[in-house]
Amino acid sequence: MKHHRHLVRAGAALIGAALLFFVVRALVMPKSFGRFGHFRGDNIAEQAAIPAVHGAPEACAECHMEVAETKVAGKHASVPCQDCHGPLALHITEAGKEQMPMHRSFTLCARCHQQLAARPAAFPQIDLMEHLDVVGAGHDALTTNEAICFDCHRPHSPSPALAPGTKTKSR
Amino acid sequence: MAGAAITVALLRITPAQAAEHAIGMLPGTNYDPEEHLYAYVIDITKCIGCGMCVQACSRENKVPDHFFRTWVERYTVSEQGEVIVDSPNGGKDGFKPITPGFKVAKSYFVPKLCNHCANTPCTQVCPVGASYNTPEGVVLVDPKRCIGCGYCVQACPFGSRFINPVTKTAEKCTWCYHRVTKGMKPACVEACPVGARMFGDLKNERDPIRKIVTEAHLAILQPEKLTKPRCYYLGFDKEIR
Amino acid sequence: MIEAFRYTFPTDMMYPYITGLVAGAFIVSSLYHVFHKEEYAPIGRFALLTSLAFLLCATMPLLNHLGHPERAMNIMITPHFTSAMAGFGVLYSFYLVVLVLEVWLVFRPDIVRLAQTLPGWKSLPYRLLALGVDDLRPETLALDRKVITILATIGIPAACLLHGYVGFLFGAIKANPWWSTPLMPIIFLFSAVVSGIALLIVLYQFVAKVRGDEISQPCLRGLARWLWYFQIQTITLELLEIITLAYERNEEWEIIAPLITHQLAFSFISVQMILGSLIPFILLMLAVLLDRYLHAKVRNTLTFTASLLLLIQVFSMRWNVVIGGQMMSKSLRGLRDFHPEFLAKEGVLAAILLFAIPFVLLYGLAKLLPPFGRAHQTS
Repeated sequence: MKHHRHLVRAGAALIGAALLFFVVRALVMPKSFGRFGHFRGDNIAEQAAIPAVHGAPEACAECHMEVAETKVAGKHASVPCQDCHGPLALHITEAGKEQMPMHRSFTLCARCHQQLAARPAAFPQIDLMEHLDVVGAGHDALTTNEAICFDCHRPHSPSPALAPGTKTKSR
Repeated sequence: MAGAAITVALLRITPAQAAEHAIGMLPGTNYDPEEHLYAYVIDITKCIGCGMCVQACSRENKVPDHFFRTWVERYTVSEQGEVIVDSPNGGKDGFKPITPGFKVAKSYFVPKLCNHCANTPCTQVCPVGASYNTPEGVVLVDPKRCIGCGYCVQACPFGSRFINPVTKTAEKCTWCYHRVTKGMKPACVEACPVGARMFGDLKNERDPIRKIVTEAHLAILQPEKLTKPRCYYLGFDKEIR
Repeated sequence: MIEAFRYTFPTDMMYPYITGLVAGAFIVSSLYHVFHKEEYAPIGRFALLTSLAFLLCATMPLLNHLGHPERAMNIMITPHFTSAMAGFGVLYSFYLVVLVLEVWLVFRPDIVRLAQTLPGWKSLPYRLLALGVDDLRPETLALDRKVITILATIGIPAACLLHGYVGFLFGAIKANPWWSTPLMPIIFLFSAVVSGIALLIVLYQFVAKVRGDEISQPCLRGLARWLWYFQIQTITLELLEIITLAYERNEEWEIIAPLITHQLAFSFISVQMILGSLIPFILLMLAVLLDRYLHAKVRNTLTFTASLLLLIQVFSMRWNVVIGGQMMSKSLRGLRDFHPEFLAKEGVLAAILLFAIPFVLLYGLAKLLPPFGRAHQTS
């Protein structure tokens, strides 16, 4: 009588398990896996289909021609609309037109124009406190009037500055 | 029946049949990935550190707070060569003046993002094939296959990847693949008010990026790692790592 | 500078620690099963069960770490073989099969006997494990022994691969200068053997105390020698790595020097190098060199203490590698501190629980397949 019956049975169980593994594996592997390389091919199209949040740069001018013309003629010609106004997707939604969130604080202006050693020297920048002194507004002005920059500067065409106190309607 | 199943199973032991299939037009578009090859150029001398790019990226890609697909670093260097690098909230809210405690000899901003390397350590170490390179030279992560092991996060020499705390999968800059396939530029490029970030298609003969990439004096991050980045820098400095 | 990533948490370094114990315990069992060193007969079977218990738990810290543990099988469904990690599925399954087969054959005489003698349902697991064969004739057992030797012989390189590969996972990451060295797999391997032998010395003495058995001094003497030898190798390699880095003074040293003297000062210098290396080195030196003058009790205490300290050493080495590597910024421009959380998913408590499971499992396995007693005289 043979001495390896138990070994044969154990071997058969192992081979069975391996075959089962490969069958299950073939069933659960995504269909497009490996089509273009070692990844799920369908993912390329899925990634491309994600909707964009920011509009193309020229998108705003389609409706806001007047502002666009002011901007192009001024110093802020290269500043993208959606930097200050937020992404287009907040404005044009499936439900219709929504109010764009308007960021009017001096902190927005300071992002680009606060004087920093790291900024290219040629870029127009101010020391905020010093600038308030120069225009005679006082340091407290920042706490009482967040939108103080717009007192003198039109955001779409900020230069030259208007006389202090000449309220702009932010054009 | 069982025989057929086993045959199918064995046929799929190696799933890679790459190069046999052309990708062709993406469904519902007239965009063919194989017709493009992208490059990204960052001009350090132009960057003003406003952080609009970081903000736009986080909005465009719904990046969770305190995580960044792109970020801006500020380098402050003394005459003796001491270096301070800071990046408050990735630069998303802009920068405020700092007092480094030494006389500043030079200072500049360095925007960073995924380098979309041609020789990627991150896709190399992905154990499941969730991370891959597209024909356009973009490195993507399939969020449906990623197991969230974080090995790619460790393998990237540039710190460009992270595990998204919400989806629990690896995430990184995609060069706004969903935008560039629609003919737009990445959100960070379009948000830059000074043109410090440039993006374009090397296979398009009229694209200005071709001239820059082929003719300008360019630097890359950590060239000794030989990852062959596709993000190039103009106005580089030796302190930048 | 400000890369936004999470730490790999305490539970994560449990994985290299546990696989190290697997490999080490297996190598001890092989001293008996392959090289037929009779002095290790008292623990040959126990070492195998220890190895199995820890192997079965080795994946738990990994699963706990994954963002999507439910997708863990992707690593075997679509393994990407340019990734060192993809080899895990293959290596782990192969080693598991070898180990399970070996345990099964070693314990088969007991399994068959228990299947025949135990009443009713209690015999069910044994009847299943016997695969319906109750053949215990001398020729069959001789064949089994031959197969066991073959399996154990395959098992040694498999165990080395499984653990050397864990070292490779770290050593092959060029983004991280604290990890990236070809020495890494070898250091992992040697320290794995240290931790495995140390664990067996501790467990063996503990189990003997509990069972009221006498501790076999020849066995302990032999284990102490091996432990001392592997410890010296491990420490030498670990020091070599640091010394080379320090001497070459490459760019990396700028960040590694503050790392080991500040962030890791306690866990690297105090724990890994002094408490975990120097002290056990002296204790084991006494145990080995003064062997013939030692009273059994002194030898027991010396080896037990040294083993405990070495278990701590290997643990702290894993800690320093895994956690230390993540304290540096990728641009090598700064270090962060690490404060382990206690209750987090990958916190300290989870790590303790994960480390407790293999011991519970070992207890269960030892109940199912008693490794001590009359069996080791027959096998």
